[in-house]
Amino acid sequence: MLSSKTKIIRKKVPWQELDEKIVILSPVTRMSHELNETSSWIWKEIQQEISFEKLLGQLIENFEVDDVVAHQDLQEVLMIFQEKGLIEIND
Amino acid sequence: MDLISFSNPILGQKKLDLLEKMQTDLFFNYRLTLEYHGVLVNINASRESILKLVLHLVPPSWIMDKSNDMNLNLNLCSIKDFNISGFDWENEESPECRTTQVDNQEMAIQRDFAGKMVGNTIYAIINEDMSDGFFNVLRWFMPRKLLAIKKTVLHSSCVVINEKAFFFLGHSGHGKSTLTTLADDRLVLGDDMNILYEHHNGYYAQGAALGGLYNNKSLLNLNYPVGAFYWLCKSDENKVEKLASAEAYRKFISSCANVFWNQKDNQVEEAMMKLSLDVVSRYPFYNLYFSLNKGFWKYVK
Repeated sequence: MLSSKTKIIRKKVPWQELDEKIVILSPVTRMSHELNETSSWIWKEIQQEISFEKLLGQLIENFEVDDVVAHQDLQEVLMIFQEKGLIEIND
Repeated sequence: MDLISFSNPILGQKKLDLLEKMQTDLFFNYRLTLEYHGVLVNINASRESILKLVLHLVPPSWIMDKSNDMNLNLNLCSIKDFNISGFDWENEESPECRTTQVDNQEMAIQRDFAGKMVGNTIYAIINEDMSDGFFNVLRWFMPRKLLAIKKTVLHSSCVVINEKAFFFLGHSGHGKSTLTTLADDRLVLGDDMNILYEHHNGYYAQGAALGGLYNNKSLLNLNYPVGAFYWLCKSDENKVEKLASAEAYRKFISSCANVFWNQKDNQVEEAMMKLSLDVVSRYPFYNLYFSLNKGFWKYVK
C-alpha cells in the first residue's frame, strides 16, 4: 500500500513514444512493454522524482476520475512498474 | 558470473578457467583476415583445422590479403587443445548464452563455446568438429560490432519475392524456419538470422553467416531491398493484420538479435532505438497468421 509521502523515482531505461503510446525496453527483463493511454501518461509524469500524493492529484485532475478509482489504478500501475524494474518506490 | 543457474556449474567454472589458461598457454599461429559482413576481423587460431572450418563457412571473397591492428581480433582455440571431448564440453542442459561484465571484460558461456571480450580482442574456445560453436561465438559479439557499421542482425527468416526481401519475425518455435520449408522455388536468404542495413536511403536484407539450416555461403553476398515485415503466428487459417506503430516497434526491437541491453552502454540502446523507429516508419508491419497449406504466400507482397 503506497502512502501519500511515498516517492516515485523512474529508473533510467530506454523508452520510445510512438503515436501517443509508450514502449519501454527493460534491460532487466530484456522485454519490451507497451503502455496504454493512462500508463503512458503516468510514465511521462514521473520523469522527475514525485510523491504519490502529487501524482495522484495530477491524475485525478487530468482524467477527471473518482478519487478512489484513481488511487487504486495508480497504485496498481506503479506496482507493475516496480515489478518490471522500471521504477523505485521509497517510503 | 552466476553459475548457480547452470545445470553443470562445475563445467561452467572450468570453461571460465580455460579462458584464462588459453591466453597464457597457447599460441595462435594460424591466421587469416576476413571482411565479415563489412567488419574486418583478424582470425588467429591455435590449430589449422580451426581455420579450415572458418574457410569452409564463409565466401572466398571475404578473405582479405593482410591483417591490420585496427581490426577486431578473434583468437580461437579448440577443446582438443585441452584434451576435452565434445560430450564433456557440451554437458550442460540449458542452451542459453550467459554473459557477465567484470570491469572492461565481458565473459560469455554457452553450451558449445566459452568466450571473453576485452575491447576489440575476443578469445573463444570451440569444438572445431561442429560449426555451431563457431557460429554461436559470432552470434554473441558480432551483432554489436555490426551495429557500429549500421547493420543489425534480426532473428528472422527472410525470403525474396519479385526481387524484394520479406522478413518473418517471431519468437522461437513460431514458424520462422518452418515457413522457409514451404518456400518452394522462392529464394531463402536465411531461416534464423538475417542482416538488415541501410543503403541509398532504403533498407536492404542479406543472409547472415551465423548458422541456421540455410548455411549456403554462396548466397551470403546477395542483398535485396526490403519489402515488408511479418510477425508470424501459427494458425489453421491464413490472414494478415496490419500492425500499429507501437506494436510494430516492439516486435521489431525484440527481434534484434543478441544486443544484450546494457545499461552501461547507452550508445547501443540509442542506436537500436533510432534504427527501429526509422524502420517501422518506413515499412509496413503485419501479423501473418499462416497454416501449412502454403496459401499464406498470397499475403506476402
